[in-house]
Amino acid sequence: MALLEKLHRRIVDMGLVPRIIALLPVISTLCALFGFISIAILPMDGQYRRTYISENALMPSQAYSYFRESEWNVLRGYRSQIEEMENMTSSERNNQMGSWLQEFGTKTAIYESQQYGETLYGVMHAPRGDGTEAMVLAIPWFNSDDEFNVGGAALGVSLARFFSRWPVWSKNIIVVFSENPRAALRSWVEAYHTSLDLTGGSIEAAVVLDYSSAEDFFEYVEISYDGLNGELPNLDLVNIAISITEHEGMKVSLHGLPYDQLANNDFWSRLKILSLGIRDWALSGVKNPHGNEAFSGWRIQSVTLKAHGHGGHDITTFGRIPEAMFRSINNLLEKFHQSFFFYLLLAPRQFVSISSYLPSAVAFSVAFAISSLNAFINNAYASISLFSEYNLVALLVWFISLVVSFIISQIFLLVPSVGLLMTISLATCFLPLVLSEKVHISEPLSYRLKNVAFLYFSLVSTSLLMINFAMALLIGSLAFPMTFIRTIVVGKSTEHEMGTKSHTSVKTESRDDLFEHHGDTVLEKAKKRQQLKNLLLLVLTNPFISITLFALVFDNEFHGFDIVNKLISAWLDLKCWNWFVLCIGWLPCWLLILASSFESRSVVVKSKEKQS
Amino acid sequence: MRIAMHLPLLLLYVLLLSFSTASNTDAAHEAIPTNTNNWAVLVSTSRFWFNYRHMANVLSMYRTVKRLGIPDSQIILMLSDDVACNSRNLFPGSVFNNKDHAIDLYGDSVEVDYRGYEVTVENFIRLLTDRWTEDHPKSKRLLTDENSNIFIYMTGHGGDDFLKFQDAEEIASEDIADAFQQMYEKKRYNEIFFMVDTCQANTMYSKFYSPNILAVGSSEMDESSYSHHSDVEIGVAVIDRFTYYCLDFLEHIDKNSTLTLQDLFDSFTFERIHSHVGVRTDLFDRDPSEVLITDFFANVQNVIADDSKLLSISHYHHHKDHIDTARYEYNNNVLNLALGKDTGNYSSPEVDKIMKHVKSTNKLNIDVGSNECSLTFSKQSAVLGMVLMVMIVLFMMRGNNAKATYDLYTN
Repeated sequence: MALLEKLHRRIVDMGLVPRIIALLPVISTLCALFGFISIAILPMDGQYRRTYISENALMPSQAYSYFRESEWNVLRGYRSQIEEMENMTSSERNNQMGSWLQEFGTKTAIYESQQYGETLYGVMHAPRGDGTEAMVLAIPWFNSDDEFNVGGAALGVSLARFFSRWPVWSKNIIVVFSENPRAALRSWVEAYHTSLDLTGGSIEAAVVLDYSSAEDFFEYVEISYDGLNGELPNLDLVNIAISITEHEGMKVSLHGLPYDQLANNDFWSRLKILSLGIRDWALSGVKNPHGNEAFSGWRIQSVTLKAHGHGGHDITTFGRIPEAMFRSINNLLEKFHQSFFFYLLLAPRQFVSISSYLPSAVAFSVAFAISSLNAFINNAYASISLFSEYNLVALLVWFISLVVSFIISQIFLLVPSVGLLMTISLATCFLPLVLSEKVHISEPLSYRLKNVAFLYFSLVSTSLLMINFAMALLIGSLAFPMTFIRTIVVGKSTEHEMGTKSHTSVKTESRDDLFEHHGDTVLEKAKKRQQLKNLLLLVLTNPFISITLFALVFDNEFHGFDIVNKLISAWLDLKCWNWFVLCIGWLPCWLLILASSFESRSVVVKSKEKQS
Repeated sequence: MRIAMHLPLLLLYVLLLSFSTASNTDAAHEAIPTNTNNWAVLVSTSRFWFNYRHMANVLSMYRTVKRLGIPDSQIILMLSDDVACNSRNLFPGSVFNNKDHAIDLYGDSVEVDYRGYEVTVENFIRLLTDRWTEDHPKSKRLLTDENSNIFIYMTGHGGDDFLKFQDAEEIASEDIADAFQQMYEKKRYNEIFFMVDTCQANTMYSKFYSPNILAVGSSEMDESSYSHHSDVEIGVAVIDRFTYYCLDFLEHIDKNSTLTLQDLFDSFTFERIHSHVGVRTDLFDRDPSEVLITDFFANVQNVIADDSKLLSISHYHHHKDHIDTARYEYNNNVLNLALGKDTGNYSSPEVDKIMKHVKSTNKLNIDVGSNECSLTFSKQSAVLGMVLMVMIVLFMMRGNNAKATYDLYTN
């Protein structure tokens, strides 16, 4: 106890607590900086690990792969027919493909969805297996870039024919031909788990094939694994896909990296893949889905294999990847559970697990919490009781902002008019400036509003980082400039009685009296500068504007206000939550900050102790 | 006077006794293996498709001991047996231990005693100690006695002082040591040869404390044992290194072999096995170089000829055997005697000398209940001579007394 007392005395003597309180904004910024740095150091040697196969039963590439020349002939035969199917209607295509599948004994059925078209699928029951589990080979007729997936469809049917002749399967094999890798495939997966009659047991894993060229040769394979809403497939599945691909001699590209950068493995290449990985993970479902996103949510591990380029490896080499993957998955007795579900890949063979990258998002949450604390105690109104009217009004405003945000999110789901949304957002940013002389709020309210806003955002961010780390990191970093918005104090308010229990009114000298005598221009200029700064920060941190800017700068896929459209359609088609994260997580906070940035009048504070 | 009369008889008795015990101890110093039957307990503690090689290990050992003569009634085979008919097996109904598929280990006449979920730690310990309820079938019991040599082979996934049973439980090395002690107290074995092929296998025999156990393990503590090779068609590893090289040696053994366990141990090198094989001999009476492979792996019984000259098997052990000449050595065993084989073309002077003492079975007349201590001719004559001498001396001494008494009476 004596030690604690000594410490306490030292702290009081040094005046540590007031100093820390004064420095809270700096601490908050330092936390955010720490968040950035802790992600940026991950590509350094010693911070990441080599990938390894956790589940010993998988044994990737231990069995020889036989999908070779004789199957190539079969594939070419099918492909020559498929090339002419591009302009057929989807029912004609599905009927033709269905008849081919039935030729070698597959049970087929067509799932018809009102909205998303027809999906053909076939189930090959394992003759010697117990038939309770299944592996899926999914081939969209038109791939994520809306090109006709000729090679993929040919591979699909020839692989299915090849698989039907092997007796080694212990799980059923389901071949799915959907119109596109987006809503059509996802609606099929949903129907499979609810309403379809022909099923093959619970799906363990899915491989989506995308080979859009009609040529026999390709250069490298891009493997996509980002699932919807922050889900990732088990790292074992990704590792066996990469290991098998490299074993067969092909190069692996992650997150759209072009061929010439595949050989690099230094700090910058890893940092690049890490950043692209975080971006793709956060925007998964919003960017063009590759196909594996369709399986998220049902504990199905899925990856997409996409062939790029012309010349190098032949199509049967590409076909050996799903063959070997199926042989490996076939060995399993349990669902994937051994390896990581939360990871970031820095290179095809290098990764970091959640313990390495999570501190970054936590740091951003903490930064917001410290900002909230700063807004509470780092001003003259710290001693106001908890039940004062300012707190209650702040909470009321928060509640109203939640309701308003929810209404906005629903309105724009129904009426996807993005232009309107952006103009409204921009217009509201100018409100404090436009209404600068007319509307005033009291200063304590301004601080309380900020307090509530940052606290709420910190809570949202903390809950989100468990589920969807990348999204939490994204909104945390993009919204952080909100903490730099300063309350603008102008003039003094009239004497104001605080209606609480034991206060008596005491007149104190208002500080603003002094200011008024010193040249209005200095004050005015400072005020104007601050208002412009606030405006800029408000514009930058508006959820919709911010995400649009982010998408335009960091992603080639989006043009103009595309991303907001995509956010809305991702919810409507795929049930991706990102739209609601922005609307209900970020927007209320922004609205509160907007409210707090109106000009405010200082208020006389009755101190509890002085009773003169 | 009376004492003087009894003294010669006493002396005679003492002399005869000492000679008999002398000859007895003489006989005991001859190292005769005293087992009359051989048993094998072969255990694979793994299940699942990717542990194919453990199944292949045990089935290979099973095949070896069967080939060398141990009947199924004396083999206890414990397997999970989920590999041959696994839907992932490209060759249904077959288990191979080599990618050349030369031998189908599961081909015919495999009798599994404990299969699937019956392979548990409890069943294994009960098997060793024979603590069963009355209705437990005899074919699943280890019905050994004090003249049984038992070969115990275990394979699977192991660690520091433990072995994993069927992915659900573990057996500790202390448990096996205690089971062996129970077996010793119940006189359930003559000698045990314990072989274990797992990771950190040598720890499994570190806790044994009962006599007459010889143990060999495939790797040291903190060392892994490795598989030998994979079969790319089946898609799994098919045999472990230690067992592969054991089999490499044992495939050259047949029932006539005079190779010893020391030869087997010498064939294990680090370059082949990739781990340090350990051998524990301190609990074992005999030197491994005196123990024939067939003492444990085959069902061979040694015959003791009833003759005036005691024949010791250890004569054979002085020859330095080589693998090439092994098959040309003539073994003194029941098989060859019954066949009435003579040395024929392949005799050597030492063999001839010994063969003079070998009788064919129809001439043998061993009385089981007879006293083992049989005296040789030289010893018999020495004893008779001593007796005669003593008799003469005592007679001469007695004569004086008689004369004295006679004189008294004649006075």
